[in-house]
Amino acid sequence: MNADQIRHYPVGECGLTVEFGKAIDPQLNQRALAVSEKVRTAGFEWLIDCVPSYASVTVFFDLIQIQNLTYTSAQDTVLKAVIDIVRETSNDPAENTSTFDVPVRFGGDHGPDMETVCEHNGLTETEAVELFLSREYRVYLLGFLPGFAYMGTLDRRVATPRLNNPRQVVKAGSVGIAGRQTGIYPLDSPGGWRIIGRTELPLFTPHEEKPVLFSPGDKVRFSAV
Amino acid sequence: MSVIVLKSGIHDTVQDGGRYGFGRFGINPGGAMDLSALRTGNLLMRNKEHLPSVELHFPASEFRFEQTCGFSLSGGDFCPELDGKRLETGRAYTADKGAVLRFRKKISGERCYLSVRNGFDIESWLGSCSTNTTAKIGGFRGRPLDDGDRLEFLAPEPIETGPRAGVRPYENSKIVRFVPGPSFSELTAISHASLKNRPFEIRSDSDRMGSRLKGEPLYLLNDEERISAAVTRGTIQLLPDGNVIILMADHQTHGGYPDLGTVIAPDVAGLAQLGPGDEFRLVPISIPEAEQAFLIHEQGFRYLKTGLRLFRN
Repeated sequence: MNADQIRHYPVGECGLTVEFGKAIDPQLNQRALAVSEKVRTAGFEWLIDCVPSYASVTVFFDLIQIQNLTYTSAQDTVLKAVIDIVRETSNDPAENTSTFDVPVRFGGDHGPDMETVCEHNGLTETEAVELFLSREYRVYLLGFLPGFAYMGTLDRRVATPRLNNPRQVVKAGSVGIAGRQTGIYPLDSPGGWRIIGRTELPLFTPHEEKPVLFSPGDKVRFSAV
Repeated sequence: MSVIVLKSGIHDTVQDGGRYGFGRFGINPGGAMDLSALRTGNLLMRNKEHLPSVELHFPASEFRFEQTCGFSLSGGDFCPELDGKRLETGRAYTADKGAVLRFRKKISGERCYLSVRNGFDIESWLGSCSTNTTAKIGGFRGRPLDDGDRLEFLAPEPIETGPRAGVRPYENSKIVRFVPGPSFSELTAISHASLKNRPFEIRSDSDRMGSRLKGEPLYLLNDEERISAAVTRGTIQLLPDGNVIILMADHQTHGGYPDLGTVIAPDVAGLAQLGPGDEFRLVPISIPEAEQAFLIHEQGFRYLKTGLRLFRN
């Protein structure tokens, strides 16, 4: 991977972000995930966490654990370590991900915003559901809540902007649309996405070995029940 | 073998050093808002620095010790009294079985930490005892303390009252230093000038997720859309209305708002003790200056450890 195209910036004195691009794009995301995984498993004693995003990787480190601080800044030491990993990561890294089928009940009480989504796009409910189900989605990142997956990319014909006023409570399992992204609420929480349906699949399983169902990079197919 | 909550406070939770290593799953670190106070409280108890303590907001809970045990209060001074006797923050005490701990009024700070000798017996989730109230997990049953809750001690024992630990972390909280982020250079000249010359004030709708600031609105030269990236405790986000929020302990893992920079760790602790109406300045510093400040802050804790050890010898 070419290291010249990346940009980096500090996240305080104990963090550093390396950015591969500025778009929501599967290839950029895959690059970020591959680098993040390598940083995480490289055995750096200074590593606190490594958090991937759409097209970037943020490394959090323990300054005290970084040697030779007198001579170079910790940012430089960590940046060099990350750049080395970027260089040895291929441009088209292998994907080690899972594909999930998510059964959803659409509309009615399960999807209180289905009507608005249809109106906004001039569709019948059947057409909207069909368009929504027509694609396999990529989990770009998990954020907002434990296990909340930001997935994309929706067909333009069902894309709908967020609510102007977020709901106080969105039920766990609710499937929402925000622009051309879709996501599932893992817990009851306030939220501003347009809710079109609900799944009973548990996304947040705090006492399991893996506390959330999805990982970044996974693929999701929805089905209607 | 516990301390019992006689009357619960407004928002008191069990917090420790935080839950790190799960950002990729959207699981945020949480932890004590004022990590300096948490560490001080535990050091006074001769505990490991990041053991779980109770983070108190005012009005704070009232407690009764069901067992004789050493304890300390660190951070904000809420006028603590043990059986009616006024206590100091930053000092080790021993409560006798049956003693009642009350907090009369807020004298300084926003968060006070109750630490006990050898710590509380709290089940850990993903390596931390911090309470995540959004996911309703971690700490004491994933929620703030309520009337009648019992926090079990791990190994209660008395402790001798030692010297008072300094309150150094808060001396400079009128100046909050940050390392500029990607959007800082995109601020307009006027916004740069107002950031330099005008103070900010903490708004009353601030909480454990973030400190919302009142000040001159800030603007960027361009309004291009940004994609989300990971954020951290201390990240200064510019909201669409020109207002600023500084992310605190319960921040989300990612953010899409313009990132003006990140407050250095030592000053985030001080920021956690500022309350509604308190004024401070945001001062950009270089990376070497930030690292230096961090190391000086850590040096302070080494001195504290040495001081407390010398006292015991």
